[in-house]
Amino acid sequence: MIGIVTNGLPFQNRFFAEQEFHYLYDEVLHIRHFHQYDLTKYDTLILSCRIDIRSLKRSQSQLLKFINAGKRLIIFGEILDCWFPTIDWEDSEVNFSWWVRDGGDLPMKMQHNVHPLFKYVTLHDMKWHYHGSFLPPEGAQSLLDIPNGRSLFYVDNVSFNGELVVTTLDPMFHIGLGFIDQSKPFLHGVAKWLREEETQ
Amino acid sequence: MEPVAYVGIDIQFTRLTTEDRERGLVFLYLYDLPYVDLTAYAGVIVTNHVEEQFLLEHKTILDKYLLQGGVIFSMTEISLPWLSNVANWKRSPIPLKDREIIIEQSNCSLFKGIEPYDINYRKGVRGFFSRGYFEKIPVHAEVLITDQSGVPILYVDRHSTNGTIFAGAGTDIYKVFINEENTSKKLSMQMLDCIRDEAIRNDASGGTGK
Repeated sequence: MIGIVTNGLPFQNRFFAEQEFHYLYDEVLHIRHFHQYDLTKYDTLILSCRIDIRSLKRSQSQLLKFINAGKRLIIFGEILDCWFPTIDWEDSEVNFSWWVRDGGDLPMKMQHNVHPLFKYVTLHDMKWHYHGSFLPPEGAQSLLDIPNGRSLFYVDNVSFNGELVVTTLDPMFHIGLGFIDQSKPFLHGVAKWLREEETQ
Repeated sequence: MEPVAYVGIDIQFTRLTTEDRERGLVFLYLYDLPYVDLTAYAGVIVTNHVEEQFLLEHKTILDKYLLQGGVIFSMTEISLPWLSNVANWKRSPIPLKDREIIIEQSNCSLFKGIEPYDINYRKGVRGFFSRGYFEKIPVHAEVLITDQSGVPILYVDRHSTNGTIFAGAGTDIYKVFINEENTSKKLSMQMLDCIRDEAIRNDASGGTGK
């Protein structure tokens, strides 16, 4: 069972109104009421991008207990104040205009191409802009690197009993606001990967 | 210089800089709203990073503040009725690359001296100002921004309450243009000036309880 966590922001409400993404999740959990949920019934928890950091900090022990029970936790977007252990986040200037410049590019490279996510996601699907990057822990697998060697998307199966998936990408925000065409195929790819994993 | 509150959840995009704070902008954590006295501020900017259900649950706080002559500048893509007489946000059917933001003639100084091109484009990309509009506005509201189809995108309403409501259809016009190297850079400071001017005007007319 897949749960997804929201903060009830306008773009998040519009994302959840999108029928085409309802198959991504089974239940929606609100961060304001997070302490009231029984997380044991979920196999995967997805944290939407742009959730209140103070509320996430208050949920930290619940989320650590969840992932250490062998479950999968997926975190989208920025990681401020080191709110979740092991995640090394660094801000960067946002290059949102590379695609309107002649010959413009936003260099990034797929890694570990055999990862099952890549059956459903292409490099193009992940390439719009980013607000920062990660230094994955030793033993974690980066799936998307930028030229300085830092990661925009990694999977960590070594730091916890479960699996931590972290990406700087913010598809819920862009789908909810209705711009960045790549955000939809990217999130459909993630959804298909997660649902395929469920059947195995 | 009276402080202006900047309301949002705590995320990267709502954190203030030293420059913001020097201008008298103060971060007001959304979930602290029930515990503060809004009359301590010249005005309240409500960002697009707010939980609307929470605001609806605490609508009486905003209503009381407006009754006292308060100034609220909403930049939220509203979908719940937490702010007096502000209609729901609608996504524009015009593709962002084709949508033209138009500054209407007005006595309001919010967009004074700002070139339309500079709020239509950021580094050659269109769509930052707003991706939506309001389907309807209060009867006596003054429309400040429209698009080429004529729909209202930003307006000021001085009649529905004792206070002043600026309502913008999305996008944080305080932060989005603050680092641009053109006339749009002035927008953030002019926004704070407008809010403070409204507070003084409302105070002089006896609207405020301060």
